[in-house]
Amino acid sequence: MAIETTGAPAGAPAGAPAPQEKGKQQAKPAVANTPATTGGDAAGEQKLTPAQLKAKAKAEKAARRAKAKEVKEVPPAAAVADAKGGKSGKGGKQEGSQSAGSQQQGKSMPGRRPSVNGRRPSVAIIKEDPRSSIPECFSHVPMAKRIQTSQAHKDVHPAVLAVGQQMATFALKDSIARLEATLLAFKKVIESYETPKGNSLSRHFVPHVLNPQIEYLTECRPMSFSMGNAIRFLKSQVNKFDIDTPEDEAKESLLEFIDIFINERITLAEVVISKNAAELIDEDGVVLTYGRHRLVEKTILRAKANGKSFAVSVIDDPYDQGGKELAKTLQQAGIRVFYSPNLGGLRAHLERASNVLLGTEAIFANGSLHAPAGTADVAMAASAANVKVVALCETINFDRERVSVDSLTYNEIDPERCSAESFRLMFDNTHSKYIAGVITEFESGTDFAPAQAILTLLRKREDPTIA
Amino acid sequence: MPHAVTIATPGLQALILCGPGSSFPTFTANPDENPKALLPIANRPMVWYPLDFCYRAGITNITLICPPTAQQAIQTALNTNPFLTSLPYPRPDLLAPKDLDQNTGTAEILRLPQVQETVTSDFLVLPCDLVCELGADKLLQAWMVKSASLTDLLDDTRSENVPPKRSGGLGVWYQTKTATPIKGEETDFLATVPLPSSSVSPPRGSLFPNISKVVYSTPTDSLKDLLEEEKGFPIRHALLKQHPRVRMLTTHRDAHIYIFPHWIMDFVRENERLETIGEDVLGWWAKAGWQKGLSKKLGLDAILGQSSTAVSNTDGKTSPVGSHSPKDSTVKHPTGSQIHDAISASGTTNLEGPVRPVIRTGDKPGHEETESANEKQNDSTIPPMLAYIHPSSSTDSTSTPLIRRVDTAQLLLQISLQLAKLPSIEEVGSAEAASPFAHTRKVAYPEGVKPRTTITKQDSLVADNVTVQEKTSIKECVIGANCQIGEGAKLSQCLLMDGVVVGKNCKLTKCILGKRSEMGEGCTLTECEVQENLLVEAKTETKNEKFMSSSGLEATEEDLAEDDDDEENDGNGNDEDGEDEEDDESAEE
Repeated sequence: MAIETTGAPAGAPAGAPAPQEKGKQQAKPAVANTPATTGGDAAGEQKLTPAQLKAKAKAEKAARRAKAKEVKEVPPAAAVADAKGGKSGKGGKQEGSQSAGSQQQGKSMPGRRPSVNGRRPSVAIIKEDPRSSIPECFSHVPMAKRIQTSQAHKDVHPAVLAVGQQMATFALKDSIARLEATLLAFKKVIESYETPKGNSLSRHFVPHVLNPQIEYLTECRPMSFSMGNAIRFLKSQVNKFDIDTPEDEAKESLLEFIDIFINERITLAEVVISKNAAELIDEDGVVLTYGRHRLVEKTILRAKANGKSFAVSVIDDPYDQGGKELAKTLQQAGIRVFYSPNLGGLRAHLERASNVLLGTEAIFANGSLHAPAGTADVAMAASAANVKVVALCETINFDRERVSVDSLTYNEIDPERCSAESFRLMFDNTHSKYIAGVITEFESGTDFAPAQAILTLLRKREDPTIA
Repeated sequence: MPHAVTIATPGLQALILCGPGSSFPTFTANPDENPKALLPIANRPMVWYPLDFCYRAGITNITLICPPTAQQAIQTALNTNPFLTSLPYPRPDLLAPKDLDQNTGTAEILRLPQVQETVTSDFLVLPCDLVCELGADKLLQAWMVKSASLTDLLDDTRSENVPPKRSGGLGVWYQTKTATPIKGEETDFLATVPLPSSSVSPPRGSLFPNISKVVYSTPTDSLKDLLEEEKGFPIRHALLKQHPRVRMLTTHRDAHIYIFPHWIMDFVRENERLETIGEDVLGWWAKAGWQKGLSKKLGLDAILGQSSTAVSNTDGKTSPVGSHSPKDSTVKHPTGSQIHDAISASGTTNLEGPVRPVIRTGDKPGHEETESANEKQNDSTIPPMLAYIHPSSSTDSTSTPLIRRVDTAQLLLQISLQLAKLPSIEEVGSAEAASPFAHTRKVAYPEGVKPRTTITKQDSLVADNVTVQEKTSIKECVIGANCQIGEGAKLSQCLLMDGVVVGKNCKLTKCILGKRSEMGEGCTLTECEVQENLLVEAKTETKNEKFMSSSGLEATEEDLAEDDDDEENDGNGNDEDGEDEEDDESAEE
């Protein structure tokens, strides 16, 4: 029995006493059992056949063993939880950033969740954990835990519950769609929030209301970089309120903040990026792309709407046939489409390609791309074939602190494809040297920023917002 | 001790409809005093099961709806029954609209003003006779992901979503043909089409692989009438054009678990012709998904167009459905005869499923492409009604969770016995590992059991305060609270409700004994049903009989109110019953 804590530290201290309680609970029936069974069986025992008696004795022995085992296992688990509780209390400042979350997960042993607050899921929780088969050395790589709504903290808002389930089942998949749904759900949370007597929104809202939501979302699926960023902005916004700010005013201002945020960082960003990127598409050229990404799709459709004539090569992600949908959509828009269901046809497709457009999940501080697995192959093959590779990314997806040069430090395990023999990583890391440029909503015209200049870009953007 | 629910509430409210139980003639002869909702299934009142189903998923806003005549009986049970009082807080509300009687249709119930007022969000509709082991959280997950629209859930009113996508619904159907089929179990006819394929593989353990979209739904009885009348099963061109792959199921049953978006209340209010949920609301909704112009006639376009919050137009126009009955609107399709063949081949007399008629409409694939594009547009206007088709448990009853409606005496017996086989919490060791329906102990009051008796614990349940005399044998039985089992009695596969007295040396097999009934000494009964408070004469030997009093007024108010003076009351009541009983028998002879 071990504990798996989640990104938000609130869960860890609460988790610490849980195993002890649990041990007690399990021990109790054991004690109570003995008199009860002997009393209850007194009547029945006499008529049992010898064979039945034997079977019964066997069952009892098995039960005793199981109990002994449980008792043995409890103390170490509790110790682990204690150590962690202390640790995450310190790390509490950097909550929301994914590194804290993944580090904690790395420390914890794989196992089932503790039943904090006596939550009782409808399914037996002794389901085998798919994680348990993954070797210890990969335990830092998070995987969507996909918790059920019945296992969620009681303060989780219904809208957040639904969004979480959509994320857990990958119905909401890419980073921006998840970010948008999260922010809209948080709007509902804020709308329904009432500060309890004797508290101030600026002190009470984040730890008691917002954090349970974030914790639940993280347990559905590890947060995307964009969500981490946005939540940090949101929290800093709350912290800016004076303790005496009237509740209505604070709520109003938060809702407005989210609206502006969505508008600026998602809606407008999409328009600007697709507009700029569309200009990169050459007349009569062939655009190659990998999988399906919203920005790439918007860009191609916009270029078509601008009256350009060109063809598109879609190389599909073999594990997520999103490219098929893209190919269909583009074909319906009257664009000539070449489609390859996997990376097999990459070289042939690259030969006629004039341009590669890639969608990304995030960009690290050293300029490398965090994108669906397979992107790196496409980028490397393209740069080897001297085809220009352009990545499209909203600035909200940029990570300002972390750098990554490999695919194993920050990644996510595909929960559907993980077994004792192998597991699939959902993302890979593309070094910035394979990318000719990145288009963000800050660039104008065809002159785009090299990936290495992203830090500068970010400072330009974020200095005014972050004090 | 009851405690407050400590899990997140999914923001839906639940309506539990407590109906009359007309299919239990023996036990609900007087549905006002003995409502069906309070009949015991494995010693718990029936309504406990849907309530528990809600609480397990964190749904705490629960409204029980019953006729005013049955209100008192149900309220009393809610306040006193140990199982109902031990449910977590907050307690369910009991609503007894004054216009509701025992024969009101389910959709008519939704149209009652009090119910319209009560429902303020997306909601679940449950029957009181539902035993569903499957967690509502899984169904909710399926609904949230596959059917609900984030536009509705998040109030996303931004302009990009035009027309706004509205939430759909989800229903549950289960296979009735299991390892132990039950005679006379109702079935419903269901036609579904696969959902548009998604690039994401469904998560393990989710219900997604068994989810499809409903395009036609009707009870088998109505289907048979239609088949008789039309000498075939008429299918519209539009359905086949839009959905080349239709799957028809004839042996499944609607579990009557519906997760509905709030706009259904408007839909029901605007269309006064809708009588029941299962047949009319679902049937018309599903048809509106593919039948051109129907959504407008039903007023769906207007209902879906308005935002989820603005509910106005209370006295709106009555729908034109009246002038537009299903028969008029149905065009007989040439391939309809093929389908009819398929159905009649498998037997209109003995409907077997799944029936998969092979239909070729002669469309070219290219044509289909554009059709599916049309369909996409259509889908965006009419939200889908989805069906979760519970996989059949015929292979291994332990692996798939139980879903069943218990609305006949036979089902009551069988499901009770099936639940009795669940290992108790005491046996499993912890409440979390045991089934949600497990009892704390198999024999709740071991002190009442004399030595030298046989009780097969693995498949029997003996409730509190039951006394069992010596030399008895109880095999595969469910015995309610306060029963007295006489010396030398042999019970096998029996269901005894509360307070039954079984005399010495009785032999009972596959019997259902109503509460406070009494078996005289030396009775031998097989497959019998005994109404509450009846006395069965000593030495009666019979098979397959229903013991009922002719008057049907045994359970007087006094009986219910003065439960404490069991002795006296029982004595009086039983004397009368005995006389009635004799009358019955002599009449038969």
